[in-house]
Order: sequence, then C-alpha cells, then structure tokens
Amino acid sequence: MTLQDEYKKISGLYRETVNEADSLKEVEKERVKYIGRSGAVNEIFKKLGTLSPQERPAWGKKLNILKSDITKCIEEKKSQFNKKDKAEDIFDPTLPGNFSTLPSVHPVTRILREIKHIFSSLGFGIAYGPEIETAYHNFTALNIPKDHAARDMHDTFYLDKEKNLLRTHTSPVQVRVMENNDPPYNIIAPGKCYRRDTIDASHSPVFHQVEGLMVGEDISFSDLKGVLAEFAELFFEGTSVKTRFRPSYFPFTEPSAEMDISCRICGGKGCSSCSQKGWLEVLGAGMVDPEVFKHCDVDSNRWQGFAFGMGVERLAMLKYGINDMRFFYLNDMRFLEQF
Amino acid sequence: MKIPLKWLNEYVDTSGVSPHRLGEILTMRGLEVDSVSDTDAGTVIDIELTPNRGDCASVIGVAREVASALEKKINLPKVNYESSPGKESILLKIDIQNPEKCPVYHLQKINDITIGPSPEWMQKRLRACSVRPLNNIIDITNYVMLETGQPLHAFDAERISGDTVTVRLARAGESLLMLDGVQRKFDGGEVVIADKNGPIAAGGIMGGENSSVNDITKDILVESAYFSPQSISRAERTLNVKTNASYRFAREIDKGGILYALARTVELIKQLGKAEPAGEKLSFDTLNVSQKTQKKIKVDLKQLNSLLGTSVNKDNIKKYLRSINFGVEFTGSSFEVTVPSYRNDVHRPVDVIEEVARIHGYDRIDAKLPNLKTGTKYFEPRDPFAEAENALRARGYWESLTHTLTDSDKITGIYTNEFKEIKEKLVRLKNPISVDMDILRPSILPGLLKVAGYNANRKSRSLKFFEKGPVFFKKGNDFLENSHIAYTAAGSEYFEAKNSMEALTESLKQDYSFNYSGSSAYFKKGRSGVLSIDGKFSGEFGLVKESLLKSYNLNQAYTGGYLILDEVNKDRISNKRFKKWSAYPAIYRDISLICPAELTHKSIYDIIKVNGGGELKKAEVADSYIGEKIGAGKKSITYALEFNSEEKTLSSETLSSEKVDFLIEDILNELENKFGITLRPE
Ligand SMILES: [Zn+2]
Repeated sequence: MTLQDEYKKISGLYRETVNEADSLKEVEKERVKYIGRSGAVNEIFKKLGTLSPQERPAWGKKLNILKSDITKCIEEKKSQFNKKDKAEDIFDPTLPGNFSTLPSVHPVTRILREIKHIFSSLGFGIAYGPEIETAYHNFTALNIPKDHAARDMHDTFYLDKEKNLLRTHTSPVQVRVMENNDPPYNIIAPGKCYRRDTIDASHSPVFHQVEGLMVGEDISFSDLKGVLAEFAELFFEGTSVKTRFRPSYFPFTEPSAEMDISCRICGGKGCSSCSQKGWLEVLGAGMVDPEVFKHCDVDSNRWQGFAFGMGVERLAMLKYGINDMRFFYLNDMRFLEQF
Repeated sequence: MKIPLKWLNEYVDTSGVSPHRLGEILTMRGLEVDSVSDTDAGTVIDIELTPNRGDCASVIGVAREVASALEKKINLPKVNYESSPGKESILLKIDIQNPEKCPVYHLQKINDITIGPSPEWMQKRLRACSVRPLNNIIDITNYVMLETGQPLHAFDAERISGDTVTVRLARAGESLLMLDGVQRKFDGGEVVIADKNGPIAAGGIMGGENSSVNDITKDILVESAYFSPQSISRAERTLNVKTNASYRFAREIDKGGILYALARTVELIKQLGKAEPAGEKLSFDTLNVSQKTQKKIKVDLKQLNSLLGTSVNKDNIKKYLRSINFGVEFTGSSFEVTVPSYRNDVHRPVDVIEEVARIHGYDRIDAKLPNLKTGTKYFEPRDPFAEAENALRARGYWESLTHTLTDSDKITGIYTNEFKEIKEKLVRLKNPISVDMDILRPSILPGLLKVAGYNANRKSRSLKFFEKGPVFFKKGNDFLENSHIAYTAAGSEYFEAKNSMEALTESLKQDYSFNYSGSSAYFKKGRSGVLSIDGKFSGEFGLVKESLLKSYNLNQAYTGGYLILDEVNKDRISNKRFKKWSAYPAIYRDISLICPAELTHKSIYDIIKVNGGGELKKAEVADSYIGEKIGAGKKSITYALEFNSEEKTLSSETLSSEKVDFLIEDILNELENKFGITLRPE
C-alpha cells in the first residue's frame, strides 16, 4: 500500500475503533495500535522516504496532525472512562433507604385480634354487649347478689343509685347471649370493662377483657382444660408454655378455676417477675353455675358448659414483657412504635 | 390471711413439709398462697382467701385443709366451759329485736380482771397477723378470732347504762364514736348493740368508745354472736368501714363454733387475766345449730363424672369427702353428703362436685378438646370497619387507646352556646375516683389531642393519631353508646383532614356527601366540613378550633375529624357486587375555565355533573390558578372530563365524539348563564 492509501485508511478508521473500545485497557490497545512506537502512524512515517523531496514536508505535517488528532481522540475516550469510573467509585450502598411503612396497631388491639383469631379457629363466634350495664346483668344474673361479699371483688362505677353501672367484667355478655338465644352456645365476647381502681402499674380504671362461653349437652371441665390449654399454646406460640389449673372462686361458675402459665422468664424455677412462684396467673374459668342458667332460663339438667374471662392488657404484658399497665393508655410514640 | 406456721403446727403436724411445698399444696387446693415470709413469730404464709372460704379465715380452718391434704389428724384446743359457770347472779338482760339479722347472741360477764399487757408470745403472733396488741383482754379476743374465725367483742360492763343490752336496728341519724376514733352516722339499717342511752357498738363491725375496755376496767362482757352476712356487707358500705370482724361475718362464720370461741376466750382470760366468769352466760339462739343446720345434699355420681369429665369411683368419693369431715352415704350410684357447720359455701350438689374435683386435684383431670356440635351463629366473620382503620394507617396515623373516662370540666367547656344541649346529655359517674375522670367521653377527639400534645412535648416527629371506640350520651332515661373513629394530625393543612375523611368513607364504600356551611363544636368555621352518609349526619372534619387547642395546652395547629360508625351502611361493605366496565374506549376532554375567584369548586362541579348526562363518568380538577395572567378577582380552573357509555348508541358503535361535543356545549352554556364563566383562551 502506498503512503497515501495507508493515510486514508487510518484516518478513516481510528475514530470508529477507538470509540468502540469499552474499557481503558482496550483504549490503551488502540493507542499502541495507532500511535505506539511501532504503531500504524509511525509505519507511515517510515514511508516518507518514498516520496519526492518536494512532497515530503507537506505529508510530514499531515501525518503529525493525524497523530495529534488520534492522541486527542484517545485522550477523550480515556477521560470518558475515567469520569465514569470515578462516579462508580463514590457510590455508597450503605446509605439508609427511604422506606415508609404502615403505622402499627395498638398492642391491645393486636392482642385482641390474636385472641379473636385463635378462638375463631377453635369454632367460637363473637358477641358484643353494652359497656353501660344494668346491675341485674352485671351482678344479679351472675349470682352475685346485693350485699354479698363477692361484690367487693368488683369496685364499681355507678351512673345512678344502683340500677345502671359501668360493667365490671365482660361476663354480662354471657347472660345477654343466653337470654336471647337457645343453647348450644359457643362464643367469645371482647370489650372494655371498668373498675374503681386507682391507676398504678397493675391497675387501670378502664381495661379490656375477653369473655368466653361454651355450653352443650356434654361439655365438661375436661373440655374447659383442653380448650384453654390449647389457647395458651397457640397464644404463646413458639415457647414451651406449661399450663396449670387450680381451684378458685367466682360466683357465676362452679367448680371455678384459675389458669396459670409457667413463668416465661425463669421457666418455672421462681424469679422476681413471678414473685418466686414460677407461675403467672392468666385467666379465670369454671363450669357455668346452675344459678346463672336459671336466671337465663336455660335448663341446667340438660345443658352444661364452661365460661372463662381473661384480661387483655395482662396477656399483652405477659407476651411482650411490659411491666406497667399505664403505658397502654399513655400512647407514647416510643411505646407504640415497638409493636 | 396470714398464718404463722408454728401456730398452725399446734393443731396439725406439718413436719417434713417445707413451707414452700406447703404453699404449693394449699394453692392447688384453692387456698392461694401469695407469699412465704419470716417474722419474729417464725415463718408466716400469706393466703389470698376467696370470698367463699370464710371458714379458712382462721388458723384452725387452714389446719383442717392441711390435715386433709397431708392425711394427718387435727388436734384442737380443749375447752371446758359449760361445766364450770360462775356463781354470781346476773342482773343484766339481753333483748334481741332482729333475730333474722342476729339469730345467735351470747354475752358472758367476767369480773375482777387485771388489765395489763398480754404475754410476749401472743403479741408476736398478733403482730405476725397484722393485728396491733393493745391489752390482755382485747388481745385475747383478737387471738381467739384469728384462731377460730369467730369475732368476739369485750365491753366494759360498768360503762353500760341501764339493765338491758339490746340488739336492734340503728335509727336513722344515730351516730357512734367508734374505737378507731371516727364518729360514724347510721343510715338506719345497721345492726347496733345499744344500752339505755343509745348505740354502744356497730354489731359485728366495731365497738364504741363509750363502752370500750380501758386501763381501769374491772368487769367485762364478752360477746360471741352471729350477724348475717348480708346485713354486715350492707353496713360495711353504709358506714364505709371494714374490720377483721366484719370481714369474717360478711363471709359467714361457723354457726357451730360460736360457743366454742366464747369458751376458748373465757379459758384464756382465766389463764391470763386471772379472772373467773361471773354467773351463767346470757344466751339467745334461734338456730339451734346441732340439729337444724346439719345440711344433707344428694349427689348423682354419673352427673358428677359428666360435669368433670372424669371417672371418679365410690371409694375415692368417700375418701375425699371424709378427709374434709363430710359425711358420705351411698345408695346405688348416688350418695348423700352431710356438711360440717363451717362450710357455709356448700349447699348444692354442684358445690359437692367442686369439693370432689378440688381434692381429686384439677391437675389430674384430663384435658381434651370438645366434640364440637355447638353453633357459631353469633360469629361475626370479620371486623367490618377494619378497612377504615387501615385507611388511616395508610395515611400515617398511629392507633392509640385513650381512657373513655374523662374530665367534665374541660369537656363541658367545649359545648358552649349552640352546643349546650350536648352538655345535658353527658353521662356522669355517681362515684368517680377523681375529678379528671368523672364522665364518659362524648367524643374521642379531646383524648387524641391530649396524646398528640404529650408526644409533641417529647419532640416526637409522628403526630398523627387515631382511635376507634365508643362515645356515650344520655337519651331520656336511657343511655346511648355510639361507635366512633376519630383522627387528628399536627399541622394546619385543611386537606389533611378532608383527604383522611374521604379515605375513610371510600374505604367503607359509602355513598356520602359533604356540606360546608354548618358550625361545629370542634372545628373552625370555614375550614371544616360535615359528612353525610345516605343523607344523614355522620361526622365532621376540619381545622381544630383554637379554643379547644388552648384548653389542651397545644401550641400548634391540628386538624382532625371523626366518623360515626353506627351511621355507616354495612351492606355496602359486605354486599359488594362485581360490575363490568364499559367495553368501549372512553373519550377524554379538558376544559379550562375563567371564573370569579370566590366561586367554589362545588358550585361549578354541580353544574358540570348535571349537564354532563349519564355519559359523564368523571370530572376532576386538574389545575387551579389565581394570578396576574388571569386578572384580578378571577381564577382559572381546569377540569379533566371522562365520557363513556356502557351501551351502543343507535347511531354509532360507541359514544361519538360529536355527542361529547354537544354535552360540553351544554355544560359551557349553563356555566356562562349561571356564573358568567368563560373558556380560557388558548
Ligand atoms: Zn419467674
């Protein structure tokens, strides 16, 4: 090839091949190829001797221009890569993401939902009753007569002399369900309750309970134990929780029982959380008292069953390790954010 | 109920059983042991007694349970009393006027006692049981009460006026300065012990100063009686006092132990007060315990095992019940039980069944899952309002839970002028614990504002809260409980409140409208709206009034709202039906209008809606602008209109462009006629 032909070929080619290079390494290869010591341009320089002396200076200039054009092109290409590399170098993947999530529900609501869910899965329906109750439904029908020491267990808010009050437990819903429907029954009744307790770490004048009632022709104390132990197992999922039932007293059940769970902190050995007992009280239960059936016009010779009641805040405290009941009603964001 | 173990051991041998183990045994028998502690009277166990077990409000009562549990014999202190009455003839008489409230009353006179401190061992035991030692006579009556469960009282015989001790109902207005130094007024229903001049004791509760034993007392009258639980519970309430005596009478005492306790007291006074009974006791007894009160209860073994889910046999029944001193006689598969006089809680077959279960051990009854034939017809499949809560959470609101009891002072301040009638409907507590919790809330909003203020003071960045729950009103002689969902957010952006309300109603698929002309007890006029569902008042939203912010010490603006969930049409939530969308493409047109600046969107929108016909599916504000380009007193507002038709028209396959042009022409004509609105030049 003549000098002129090679010149034409190289000057028409270099831009394309340099720009096709996709890394600094390849650009360097291109540089060596065109303007390296034994690159294409130098090869052409060597052919200057084949020209006439008159032509030589003009071609020399031309070739120098070509060489500087290629150099510029290569430098440009290189700087492109350098720029890109720099941007990639300063990327910080550890910066925090900018996500937003749904605010959580209140822990009491959360526990209530869990309880409802568990009992729904065990076949229980859900019933509701008023928070402003009559003394009849809250006490008398539940076998808590007037002027009886058992009423002392419930320090009551009254709205008038003695007829209307704020329910002290969710048990009156039992009565309302039995009054208005025929057996069998299989319900839970969640809701707010009120007691005239001064606010402290373990008392609140307003709190939540879930009542339960299961009545059939052969529902026994053995079923009471089965259902409630199953509940405890599902509620305290993933922890090997043991339950124990011991005799207690409620005017509306006979026999009555209290269910304890093994202390989750010491595992039953005794610690300060369980006042050295190894057990924590979870709920009260018992076989529906014949007096209650009588008040609701249900034949206790044919129907029998159990009732239970549990404190929702107490269950939340046990489940989450909350040690002060006041937190539930303070609604401090530092509390709410944790659930 | 505190039981010193050394004292207990005088009646039943617990050696070889550690105090903790004993505590566990009693707990599993229904006598829950709260704590075991060491005192200068030795180890003391503290039992949390249930109200039915009045019989265990004594060391002997607990000893009976322990003896049964450990299968040991019980040794009670021997008394020898009936055989050695005093010689003196007693001039005093007793007169029981209300035998239904006081069916048994004994009074024993004892002369020439020497008042002084009781022995150290007795004082230690009293202190271990949280009773303050006073003098030998009072200490002995307290000691015997703790021992037997029978409360006793000692009067100073010389301080009694007249010749008769009367047990009668108090007369309304009578009062008595009692031993605790408090003057109490009787309402007229309480049983009092009285002499010629009036009451000398509130029967079964506390004695009066006017007849009390003191340092110079010589002769005393020791009372051992039965007061009915109902009358004592009532008097505890009316006199607002509870005592060790009333605690026991309210839980009913052992009718068979009244004389035993008196004898034991006389015995101890003889020993420690060095005095002798003066003559025979004065007695009134309509119960005649030994014969009449022997309760017999018939129980069916099949029923017992059916209720408990057990298979307890005859031999076990006999063993269990005899261990707690019940008599048992079987006839076939049923048995008759004789109940000791101190077990006032056992009077029905089911009570006996509980005793069997208790002694058998709850832990020995199998746990099984029931054979479910019971109905679930009350089952509410899901919370119909869960979507509303989610809608607010999606907008960044945190659920909170505030007290439904609140402060009447602050609340009544909200309902002034035109809202006065709400004040009359507030539900007030008759016996509040404190003035800041004396009514049931009529609105959730104030509670939420308090929560926001609390968190603002703690520099929280999230100041958006909601709560779902009840509010309360009076309604004639009855009460109304409404269910509300309310929300509040820091800031002065009116649309935060409005958007949240729309998010709520849309999430519940309601047919709703807003009205902006009303006034509200909570929200600022002109920056608030009223929600109607199916034409009924269903809530409000807007900027919270400054007066309300001030009364809750909030120093920034808040918006908020509430929706009355009782007004929500639940059918629209649950009975959703699928509707096929139009098979034809929609036609979209924008119209930019120039109108008077004060003209509201609603007035324009209403005209667009009416004139757009059934084909106008949507008319949304795309842009609104006030500025120099438009001219003073004017604004520009652009509507994005969407037309479509579900049906083919006669003339063409789909809704035609010409038809849409006609509709727009109608809209523009009407807007021009009514408000002088013109199209904005391109
Ligand atoms: Zn523990």
